[in-house]
Amino acid sequence: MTAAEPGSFRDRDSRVVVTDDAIYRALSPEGTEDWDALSATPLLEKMISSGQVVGTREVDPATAGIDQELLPTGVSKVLEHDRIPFVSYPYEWTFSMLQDAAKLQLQLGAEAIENGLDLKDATPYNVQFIGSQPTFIDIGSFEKQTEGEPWIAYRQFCMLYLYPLLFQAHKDIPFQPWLRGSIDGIQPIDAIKVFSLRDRLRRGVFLHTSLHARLDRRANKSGPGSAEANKNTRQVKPGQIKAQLESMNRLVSKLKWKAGETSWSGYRQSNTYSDDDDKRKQAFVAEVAAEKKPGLTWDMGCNDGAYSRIAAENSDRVVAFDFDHATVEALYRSLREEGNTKILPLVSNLADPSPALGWRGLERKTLVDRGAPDLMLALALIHHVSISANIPVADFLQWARDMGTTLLIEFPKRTDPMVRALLANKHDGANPDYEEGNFERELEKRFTVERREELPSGDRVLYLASPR
Amino acid sequence: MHIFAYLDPGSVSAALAAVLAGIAGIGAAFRTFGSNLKKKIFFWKKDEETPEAAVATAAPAETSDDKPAEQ
Repeated sequence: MTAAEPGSFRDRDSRVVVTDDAIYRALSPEGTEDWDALSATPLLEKMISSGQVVGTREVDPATAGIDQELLPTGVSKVLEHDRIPFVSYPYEWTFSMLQDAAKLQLQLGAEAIENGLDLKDATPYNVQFIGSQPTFIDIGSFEKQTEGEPWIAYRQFCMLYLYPLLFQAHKDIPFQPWLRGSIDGIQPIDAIKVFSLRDRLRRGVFLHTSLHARLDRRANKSGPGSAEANKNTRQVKPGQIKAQLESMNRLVSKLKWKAGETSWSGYRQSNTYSDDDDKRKQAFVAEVAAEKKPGLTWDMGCNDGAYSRIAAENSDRVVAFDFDHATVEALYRSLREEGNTKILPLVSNLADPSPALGWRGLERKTLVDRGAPDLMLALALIHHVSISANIPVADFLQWARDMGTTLLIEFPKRTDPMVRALLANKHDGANPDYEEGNFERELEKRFTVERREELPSGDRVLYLASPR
Repeated sequence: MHIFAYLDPGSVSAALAAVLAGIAGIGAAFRTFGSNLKKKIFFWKKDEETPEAAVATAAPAETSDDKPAEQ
């Protein structure tokens, strides 16, 4: 069935259409002119072959079955894109992921200018990750240069890329809640409130935040003004914009976030598990992945990604989730170093996963709507979910069941040292549903237990369960 | 100049972007001038290029010694 992607409506010259088999992009006559200009340059092939831009080719509009009325001025060409294995959003990325996406955006922008083109916007939603490889997906963003125009996406770049990066690098403020809270990013007048007077001397703050906010405030006071007064009359040469993009790229590249040690960094090494337990878990995961050969595996609470890597040996793709930013950042950096394109690390809190956002609540999808897994790893997780986040055991199992996924779950008993630590500050008898017998009953209501294995410590049990 | 874009650049931001582009352009011109001047002053260095320097010249990327005016 053909349906326009609900998140792709802002550009009247380019719209994405998703079918069961393919991802298409419909282009208006004007969008087609821009595409023809891009495809006439050597840039397109170079970007696609290096993986910087999603694989794209022209297809016959009749084959794609695209409605002419999809765009206000009609559809004159249709492109087909390679499918992104798992769509992620900037509020699920780590600092280095957002930084790498920003660098890609700026690099492509500068290269576009060299080829008589430019990028009409600068949003991280135009970048997706294939494992640790950032890939630009919005071909419709390339357009022919308009003489004299400044970098029109400058404000958008600041709001969606630069300010979040400055928050994390200079103030150690997590940027994800800000981006999740506003689909358009952080306004200059809000961003500046976060920085002290001393911070204004730091890299990128004065010009792009302080001055930007001051000018915004002045404009807000003086009202909208006339159309003539609002016109920018300053002519800008393409070379100047290229220099601006390169300068911004240097600024972004130099930003560093010193991810501090958190209680979750090195959790797997420093926790209460015995080596024997760990070895058995590794073998169990490897055996299950080899038997099931899942297309998509989710590793919930992935920590350092050890089990994600084992599962990846026999999965097409693995998405590794953890709510601890520093832990996922370390994992991303190691995957990037390896050039790993199979494991996608994301920051996500299972107790508060990404909701649907934007216009009609359809622009950005919930986590589950982006592709349920074939196999879910929930290792050393359920006690945190049930005891710390107070999510009933039955609710967690139902959530997994609703996705129709095979579940590989570890249940630490109430005798487990970590469970006892989590229960230490609760009253006696707290979380009564967190008990081995109840867990097994609730599991068996929803799943068929294919395999059960008690770990050598005797405090933990592994289950492989397929949905009923 | 008229801006015909689907994305509203914000009048203030567009004006600021235009000014910053001018500054960045001047910075880039200075960098090119400095780099050419350096090449002229140390013209003999070209002949004494080490294999490591040759690699660095082939891939200047982000490790350039140039210190541009940061924005």
